[in-house]
Amino acid sequence: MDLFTAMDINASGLRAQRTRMNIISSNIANAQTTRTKEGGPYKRRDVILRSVPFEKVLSGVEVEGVVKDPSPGKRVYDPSNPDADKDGYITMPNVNIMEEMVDMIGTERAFEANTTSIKAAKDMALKAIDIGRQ
Amino acid sequence: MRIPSLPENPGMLIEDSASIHRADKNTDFVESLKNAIDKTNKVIEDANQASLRLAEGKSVNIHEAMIKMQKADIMLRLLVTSTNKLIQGYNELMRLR
Repeated sequence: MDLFTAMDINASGLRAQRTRMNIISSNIANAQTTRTKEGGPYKRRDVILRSVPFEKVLSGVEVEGVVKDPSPGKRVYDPSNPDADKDGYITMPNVNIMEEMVDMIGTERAFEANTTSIKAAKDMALKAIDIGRQ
Repeated sequence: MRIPSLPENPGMLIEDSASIHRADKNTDFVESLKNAIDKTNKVIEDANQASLRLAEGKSVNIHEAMIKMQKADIMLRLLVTSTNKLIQGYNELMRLR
């Protein structure tokens, strides 16, 4: 349980937030996608975070999995679109750009918090070494 | 659960923080210093590998490479500081004559 442990725990946080950022990027990139491999419009994805035990009482974090948001997408009237049904409506992805932006800011801040914590751990270690300097 | 903030053996503080394996009764100071150098060298080597992989584009773990480099930096500083202290002690003894 030294200060490097603190760094390793925050590294797991950074890894998790990086994965979350990737998922948000994919959501934003596919905000207008109406065709997917499994058919139908793109479904918004979200990460599930889980804490993993890390030496005695400590715990790190990891991404347990990526889940699809089952909520229905917005129906848009666009009869000229080749993906439109017989009534002329297409189903858009259930991605809300505003929500993704807010999630993105949250992810960015969480990443920043982890890096700040790493910096603090490093500063503490250097301060401890400073005791030995004359 | 009790987490001791003081080590059981305060004399081993430096060895503890550098996580060098505990010196046996018959290993001398030079031996444990060698161990510390080996350990630090390994961490630095690890950091070098990580930054090399990053530069080659084989790895995308920016933060992991950075953390490894910081660890190497801290361990090297610790080693230099404790070596300096050791030499200081040696000089102190030499001055006794």
